[in-house]
Amino acid sequence: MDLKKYKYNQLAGWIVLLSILSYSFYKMRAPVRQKHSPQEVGGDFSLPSTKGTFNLKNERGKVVVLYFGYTFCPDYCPTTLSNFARVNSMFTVEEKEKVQFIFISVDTERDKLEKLAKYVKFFDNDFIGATSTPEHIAEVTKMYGVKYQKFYPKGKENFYSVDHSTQSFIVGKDGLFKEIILHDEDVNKTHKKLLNYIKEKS
Amino acid sequence: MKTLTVLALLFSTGTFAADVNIKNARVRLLPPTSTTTAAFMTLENTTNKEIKLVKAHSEVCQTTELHNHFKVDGMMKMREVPSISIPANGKRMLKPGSFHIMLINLKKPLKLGQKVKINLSFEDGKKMEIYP
Repeated sequence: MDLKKYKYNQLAGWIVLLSILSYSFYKMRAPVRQKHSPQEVGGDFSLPSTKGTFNLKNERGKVVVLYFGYTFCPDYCPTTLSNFARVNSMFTVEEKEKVQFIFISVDTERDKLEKLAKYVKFFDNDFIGATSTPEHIAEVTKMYGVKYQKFYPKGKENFYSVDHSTQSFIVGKDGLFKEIILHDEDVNKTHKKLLNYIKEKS
Repeated sequence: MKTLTVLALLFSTGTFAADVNIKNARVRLLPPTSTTTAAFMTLENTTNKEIKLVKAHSEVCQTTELHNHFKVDGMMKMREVPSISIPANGKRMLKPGSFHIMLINLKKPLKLGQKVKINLSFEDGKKMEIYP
């Protein structure tokens, strides 16, 4: 009798232990989710920009393209912005009113609004440049899963480059993140994508 | 639309133009606010031995470096490289998002159509002058 009871207790113990283990295993795995799923990326923010305060909330009804970079960048940033200038030139006047490209500088130390204004204008007059304090930029980039960090090459004073993510983000007319644009995406493809979001009923 | 590259007219003077041909050399024209830009080109190796580009120099900027991009942790990292290899009987493209010659701290903003003299040095000691 005692032996039977002991066996039952032992069995119950195993069941409890297994349940705890499988639950913790599930909890451990649960936070691993796909990057850039629309539910997790995005959100409203407000930043000082080259055309007054840019508040994403005020852009409802427009498709917004966000790109995070820095003006010192000799490569990805100018390539992306010149591609966007080409895409923008493919839109009609009415379509242009429904889309806004914004370049957000993560190089808060060197990029001030005055410099950003000259920089974005070089590519397209319609573009907006924005930046803010390091803390504020950290907050916005976190919302979109953008990574960046300064890199100081050895033996060089007063010189750094910024490692950064190179994809852009499409925010729909409803203010929700839709999809990314890879830095080397074909301009015709980007144009088509954006046109679909512009035509979407909001 | 603005043209963002200064198209190249190339005079490869040089002692060994036969070993390496340079095509489509250009310097990216950036807004006057930018003090840094990049030069791109295609290097063709006409020999049956690997050739390494080890140094670039230009008077238009304070520092000239050979660079490449590496994708790490979802970020593009631009780093200086000691050399750029051109495979035997092959070619190496210096292009956006890849190998490039970085012109750092331009003394004056570049103008559209301006020819930028760049001196290239190779591992075997040979030199070349290009004018993208």
